Amino acid sequence: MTSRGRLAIAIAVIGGLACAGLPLILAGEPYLMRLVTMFSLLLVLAASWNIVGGFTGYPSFATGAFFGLGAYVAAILQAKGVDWRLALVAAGLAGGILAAPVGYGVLRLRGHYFAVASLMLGTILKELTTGWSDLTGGGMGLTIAGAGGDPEVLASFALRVSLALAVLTVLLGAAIKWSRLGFGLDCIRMNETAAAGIGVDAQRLKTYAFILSSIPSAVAGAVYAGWIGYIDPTDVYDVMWSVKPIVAVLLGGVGTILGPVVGAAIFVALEEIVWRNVLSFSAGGLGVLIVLLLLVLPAGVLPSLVSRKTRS
Amino acid sequence: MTAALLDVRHVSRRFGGLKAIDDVSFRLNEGEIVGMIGSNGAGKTTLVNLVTGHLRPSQGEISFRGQRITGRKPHELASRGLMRTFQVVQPFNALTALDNVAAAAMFAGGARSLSGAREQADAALSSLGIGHCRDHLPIRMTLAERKRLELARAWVAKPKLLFLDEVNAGLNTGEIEGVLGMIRKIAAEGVAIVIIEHLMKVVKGLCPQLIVLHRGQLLASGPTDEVARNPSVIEAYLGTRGAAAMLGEVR
Ligand SMILES: Nc1ncnc2c1ncn2[C@@H]1O[C@H](COP(=O)(O)OP(=O)(O)OP(=O)(O)O)[C@@H](O)[C@H]1O
Ligand SMILES: [Mg+2]
Repeated sequence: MTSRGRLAIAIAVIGGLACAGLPLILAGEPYLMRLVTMFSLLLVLAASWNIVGGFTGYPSFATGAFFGLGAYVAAILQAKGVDWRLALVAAGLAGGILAAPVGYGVLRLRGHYFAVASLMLGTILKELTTGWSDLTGGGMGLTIAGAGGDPEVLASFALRVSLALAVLTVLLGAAIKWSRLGFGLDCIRMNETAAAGIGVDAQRLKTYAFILSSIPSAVAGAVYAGWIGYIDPTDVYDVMWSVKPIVAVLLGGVGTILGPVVGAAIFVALEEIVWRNVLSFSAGGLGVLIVLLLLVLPAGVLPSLVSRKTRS
Repeated sequence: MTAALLDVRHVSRRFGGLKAIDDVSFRLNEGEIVGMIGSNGAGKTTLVNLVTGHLRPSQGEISFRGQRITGRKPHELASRGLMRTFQVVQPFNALTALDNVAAAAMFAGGARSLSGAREQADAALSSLGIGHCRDHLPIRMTLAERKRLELARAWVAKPKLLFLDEVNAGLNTGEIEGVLGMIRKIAAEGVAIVIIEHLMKVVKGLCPQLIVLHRGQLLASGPTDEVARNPSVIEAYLGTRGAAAMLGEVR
C-alpha cells in the first residue's frame, strides 16, 4: 500500500477512535470537553483554510464569514423547528452556494488585494445580518431553540459532532491534495501563468477550492451556534474566526495534511496556558508567543520536525 | 486552398500609448517551421502572448484550426493544441522535473491518471535527453536542462502548433546544438513550430520561412533566403553595420 493510503487510513482510524472514545473518556469533565470541542472547531477552520491558503496559495480572510453564515443559517432554521442535522447540511450548502460567485470574482485578485477583498466578505455579511433584524434578531442576536436541555448532554453532543466534522475535514484536505484538483492547485500556487500555459483552468480550480473550503467552515459555525446556544453578529462574524485558523496552520505547517491538526492543538494549548496565567494580558501574551514560535520554526512545526529528521 | 492552421488578421495591441503590435497579419500551415526575428522590443513575445491567449488583442482576429480563438484563455488553447514556451523559463519550483512534465501531460495532454501522465513525462524527458534529471527539482538543473524541461512540458501536451520564445538564449554552442536536435525531433512529428531567435545561423538552419517584426509591425515574411536579402530587413533588423555580415551568412 502507498504511504498516502496508509496516512488516509491512519487518519480515519485514529479520528474514528477519537470520535468514539473521547466523549466517554471526558464524560464529567466539562472543562476538558469544552477545550477539545474548541480544538475541533478550530481544526475544522484551519483545515478548511489550508485548502485555499495552503494548497492554492491564496491567503483568504473569509473563513469567519462562512463560519458566521453557517451559524446564522442553522440558528434561524432551528428556530423554525428544522431538525439539527438538516440545519447543518443547509449551513454547508449555504456556504458553498455563497462561495461559488464570491470565489469566482475575488480569486481574480492576487496577494494583498485578494486578502483584503476576502476580508470584506465578513464585514458585509455582518452588516446584512445586523440590518435584517426580522430574520436574524439584529444586534440582539438569536437564541437557539433546543439548547435549553441538559448542559452535559449538549456538551457531549457538541464534542462528538465537532470531532467528526474535524476528521472529515482533514480527510477532505487529503483527498483534495492527492487528486487531479490538488495537482492543479499545486501548479497554480507555484506559478499561475505557467499553470495556464500547460492547460490548468486556474479560475475554475481556484473556485472549486474556495467552495470546498467554505463548506466545512459554515458547518463549523452551525455546530458552534448549537453548542453555545446564543449567537450575535459581533461574536460569529468576529475577525478572529478568520485569523486564528491561519495562525494555527502557520504553526503546524502550511499546505500539509496534518499541519492544521498539530497547529490547532498548539494554538489551543497556548491560548489556555496564557489565558490561565496572565489573565489581564492574555491577547498580547499570546501574540508574542506565536510570533516567537514562528520565528523559531518558520515553516511550521511539522515540516521543521521532518526536515530535522532527514538531516540527522 | 486549404485552411491555414493559424490565421492572424490585423492584430494590434496597445500598452498605454505604445503600439507593441501594430496591424500584424500572417498565416501558418500545418507542420510548417517558421522563424520569427526582430530586434529587442520589436514585439515578438507580445505577439506570442496574443496568439496563445496570455494577452487580449486591442484589435484584430485570430483563428486556429479554422476556429476563431480571439480572447480565448491560455488553458483552453493549450488543451486545443496551441502551446508555447516562455522566454524566461517558468518551471514549477517545488515539483520534480518528472512532475513538471506530468502536469502538462495531465492538464493539456489529456492523460487520465497521474501514473499515465508520469509515464508520458518519463518518455518525454528521456527522449529530450534529460532523463537523468527526472527526480531533480528545477533549481538543481542547469539552464540548458531547464530549457529542455520547457520543451518537454510543451511536447507532452501534443501540440499542433508550438511557439518557442528564445529557447536558445543564454546557452553555449554545444548546448544550442543539443536543443536544435530536440526541436527537429518535435518537428518531425508534424508539429508546426514558430521559433523566436536572435541567432541568424539557427534560423537559417532550421526555418524555411521567416517573419520579421519591427517596432510592432510586420516588416517582411516569406522564404528565409528571400526575406534575409530584403534590404529594409537588413537595415531595420541588423542596422547598416551588421548588414554585410548577415549577407555573408545568407550566401
Ligand atoms: N505587459 C506590458 N506592459 C507594457 N508594455 C509592454 C508589456 N509587454 C511588452 N511591453 C512593451 O512592448 C514592446 C514589445 O515587447 P516584447 O517583449 O514583445 O518584445 P520582444 O520582441 O519580445 O523583445 P525581446 O527580444 O527583448 O524579447 C516593448 O517596448 C515592451 O516594453
Ligand atoms: Mg521577447
